[in-house]
Amino acid sequence: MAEKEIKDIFEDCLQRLLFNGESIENCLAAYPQHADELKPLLITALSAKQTGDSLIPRPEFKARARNQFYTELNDTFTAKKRPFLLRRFRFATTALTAVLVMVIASGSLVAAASSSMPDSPLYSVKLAVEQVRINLTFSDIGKAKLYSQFSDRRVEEIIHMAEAGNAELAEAATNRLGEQLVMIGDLTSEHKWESISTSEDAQKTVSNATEQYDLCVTTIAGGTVKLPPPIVTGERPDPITPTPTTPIPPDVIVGSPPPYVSLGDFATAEGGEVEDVTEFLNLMFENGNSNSARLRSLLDEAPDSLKPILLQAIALLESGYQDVIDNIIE
Amino acid sequence: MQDEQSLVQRAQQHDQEAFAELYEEYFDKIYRYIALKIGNRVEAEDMTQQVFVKALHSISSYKWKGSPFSAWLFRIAHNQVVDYLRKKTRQPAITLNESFMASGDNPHSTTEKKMDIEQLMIATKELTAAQQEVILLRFNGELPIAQVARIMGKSEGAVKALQHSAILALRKIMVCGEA
Repeated sequence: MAEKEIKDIFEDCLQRLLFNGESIENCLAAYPQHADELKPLLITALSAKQTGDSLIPRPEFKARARNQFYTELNDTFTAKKRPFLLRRFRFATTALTAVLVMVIASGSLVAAASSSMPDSPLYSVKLAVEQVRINLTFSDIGKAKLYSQFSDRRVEEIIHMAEAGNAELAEAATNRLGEQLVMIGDLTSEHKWESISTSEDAQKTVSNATEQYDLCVTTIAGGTVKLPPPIVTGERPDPITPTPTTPIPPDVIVGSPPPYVSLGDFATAEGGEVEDVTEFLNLMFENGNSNSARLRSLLDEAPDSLKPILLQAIALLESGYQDVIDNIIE
Repeated sequence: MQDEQSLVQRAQQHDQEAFAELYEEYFDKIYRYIALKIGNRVEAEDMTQQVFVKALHSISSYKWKGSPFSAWLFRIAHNQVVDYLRKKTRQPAITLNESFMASGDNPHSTTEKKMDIEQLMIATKELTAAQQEVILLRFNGELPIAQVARIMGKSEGAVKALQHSAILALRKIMVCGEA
């Protein structure tokens, strides 16, 4: 009887400690007569749980695995739904799927999900819709552009969760940001950038941008990291979210815009083919710079518990976009 | 996450978003379960991917009947691990150090993290197979006692007793170096 009692008490304490976020002291206070026996066991259990939780898949693996799996998911489910006579007309069915997704995307659920934050029940729908959109985009550069747009969203989420003081969800959004930057890097490294050597505009862009990058060097987390130059951030339309939930006020302007950046060119091109290397290069600069500047502006006032996460996100953004730019100009 | 049963039903009707939600919910948990069981990060990554591909192709064969989706998914992962370990007995063992150090992480943080994980792995290996399974499913899979009981085919009381004895043994190993 005594053994049964202690195992039940122990389970109750574990549930409260590991899954309900209560402290060991709280758990022990509920069972003072067993406190001496329970305390070392709960410490061991908590340590085992935290150690196990620290084992997470590498972001680059997770990004590739997710991409491969969602492609498989799309192929499998689409193939099973497709009538026999249409199975040979992949393009037609894919186009149909695209239309359906657009119809679904206009629905209130998905519209609401698109602006949801990681602490919202609709957040997983937002991620799923993003993945479907990736799967329905066929060119590498179109995919890279979408990933870049979704990286903007991850930055919004990091800021939102940081302002809410939720380090766990801010960190999760940072990890997703890292995964998406890895995907942009992979996609741009596989692409043949043939026009870079012949395009005068592109060469000018590269030259200006390289100068700007070399001027902006700072120290993050004990190492020297190149920071992109501050630029003007602005609103861009989101196809799912017609009105941005957190419009960026004019006072976010942290410096003069480099002359080579032209936001207007990007306002209408979303997720589609991007043939012009200059345009794409500018987009990568703009996204890297503006997001980095937004996160940096939070650093001073962020609590200590969140600073490492913000620094990690800034480092990921800068090294991620730097890799992309290197892929283009190499 | 939405009600899991309705998500699974939608996934069975080839709803991509529903399956995607299940994937996001369970991916890290399945990865941890496999990685801690086999002690090889790279193999665990491949096997985690295989678990979800298998689940995708056999989702139509899953029947609720009181047995939760998580139980079914962890059963697939368990079978993958058993297959892997069976094949592994014919190959030279890769040490935990090699497998976790090959991850490409920051060397300093990897060393700190590796030591903790290594200690946990070594200690866990001293437990009985049933105790190990309870710890991995309950702590790392974050499954409630009732689901662990279903997966293991035991009563909830038996699982609670295993959980208690497993932590007692882990404590002994960590403090005294013996079970």
